Amino acid sequence: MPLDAFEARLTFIEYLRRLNASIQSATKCAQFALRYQDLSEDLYSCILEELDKTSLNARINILYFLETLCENSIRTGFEDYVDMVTRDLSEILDKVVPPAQGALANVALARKALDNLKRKSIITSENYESAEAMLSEREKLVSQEEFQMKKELPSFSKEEILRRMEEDRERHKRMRENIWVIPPGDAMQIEFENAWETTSSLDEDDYDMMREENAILEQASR
Amino acid sequence: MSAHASTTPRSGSPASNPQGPLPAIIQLSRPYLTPNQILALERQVADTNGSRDQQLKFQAFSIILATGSYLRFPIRTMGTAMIIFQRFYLFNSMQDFPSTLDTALACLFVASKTEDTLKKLKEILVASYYIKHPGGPDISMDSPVIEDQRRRLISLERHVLETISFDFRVKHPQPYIVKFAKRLRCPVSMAETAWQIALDSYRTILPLKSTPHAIALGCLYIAACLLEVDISVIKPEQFCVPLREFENVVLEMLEFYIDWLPQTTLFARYTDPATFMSMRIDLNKRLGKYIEQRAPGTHLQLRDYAMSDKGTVRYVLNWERERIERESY
Repeated sequence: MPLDAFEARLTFIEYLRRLNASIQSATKCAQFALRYQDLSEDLYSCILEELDKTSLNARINILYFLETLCENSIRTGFEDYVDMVTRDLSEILDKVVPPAQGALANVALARKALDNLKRKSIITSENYESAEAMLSEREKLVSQEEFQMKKELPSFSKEEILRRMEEDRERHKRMRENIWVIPPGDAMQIEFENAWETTSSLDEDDYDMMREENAILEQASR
Repeated sequence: MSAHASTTPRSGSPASNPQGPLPAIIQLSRPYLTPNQILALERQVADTNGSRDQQLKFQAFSIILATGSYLRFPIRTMGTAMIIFQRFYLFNSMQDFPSTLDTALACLFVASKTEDTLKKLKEILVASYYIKHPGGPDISMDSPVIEDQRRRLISLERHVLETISFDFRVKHPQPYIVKFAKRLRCPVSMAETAWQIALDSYRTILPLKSTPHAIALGCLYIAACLLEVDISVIKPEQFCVPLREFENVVLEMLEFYIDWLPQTTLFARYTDPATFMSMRIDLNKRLGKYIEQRAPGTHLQLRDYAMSDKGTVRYVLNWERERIERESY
């Protein structure tokens, strides 16, 4: 049912604020964005606004949500979100790893997310290179003394720390579950080329395995 | 991979064995079956409608491949699912398990676990839903339709696991295709064609009868014939494939292409079954009239799926292990 832009923005922002590391929250949010794709410009702007406003932890969740959003977009054939994310990639990373205190905590995860985007062919190698360069620069900046967390200044609350640890653990688990995934494109082609490049040459171990397999086959006749 | 071993009550009274009564039934896993065993099993299934059953199986393969492709599984996951599926309907009748769609998805689920490409069952079900209803209404993993299907499949999964005797050792031809092709210095196009033929091999009963390296070599041979690459260099014995095994693989694949070409991946490039018929003629000419028979093997029966209600069942991967363990009591 059609929503007006105002309602849609409000609802979408709610979804964004409820994002955590789980794939369900990301999928719900992505499905909403795709259902109201004629409001894509509006909804997308909400993302950028939230990135400015929320905590460092929440920004990481949004970054990972963008990965889900792009994947689902490609799958349904509505590529506008992918174009917008690609175009604003540096700006997004700038917000996820801002030149501010404590931002160092987000660097590693931001880099992983960037890697995922390249591996899944959501962004091109070119986009990846320039975004990576910008990220490395920012990393050098926020590693410096003045950007480290200081005792006197307000830092992450205990609750936030624990939640972040949980979410990192969740992301890690998710990543291990996805490491085998065949990237988009002609799967047979991709797998064959990968196998052609990475399979080791025929060696004595292979012969041992083949002989063993022959022995197992021979047992069937008994 | 399963057969009934004898229903031998084990020795050792409860008094002498502190672990309690020993298992009453042993089921031995059989990674490979002989052609006779397969024929005998097929005959035991009552009231089969041969061509209808074959169509159902092909449909199931399409579902496995489409769903697997949607989920971006590597080919080995789909291959394992197809192998498990065929084994399932060798040892269980379609009368008892009429929903080949459900079985296909259950096999895909088991395969995703054994091949380390884990996906939640609900994700697999959602994927198969989207394939059946492209552009249909969004469905989420919490929907009651999915929940229902999941419950059915979880109980079906048990039957699948028992049928394969919990033996998760499945080897695939793909690595051998690459290794052999490089050793033979084949052109890449030939290896790639062989890779496609290997995909088709999963639609046959070959993986239950022949070793993966034998299948790989057979695929390379057919690819060589199709691309008119000199095949005289292929000496099966040098690749640990007995000549007879090699011939069986090639002949069976050629039969398959002759009978079912439109259902195969090669159909996109080779639409005339005559291509494969002449290959078969050539090969038979070279082999001559003598075809060595394979030993028939022990007689196997359909699975008794109420077995685990009658007593403890012990699934054994091979007799060696069982003997060693028994001696330690």
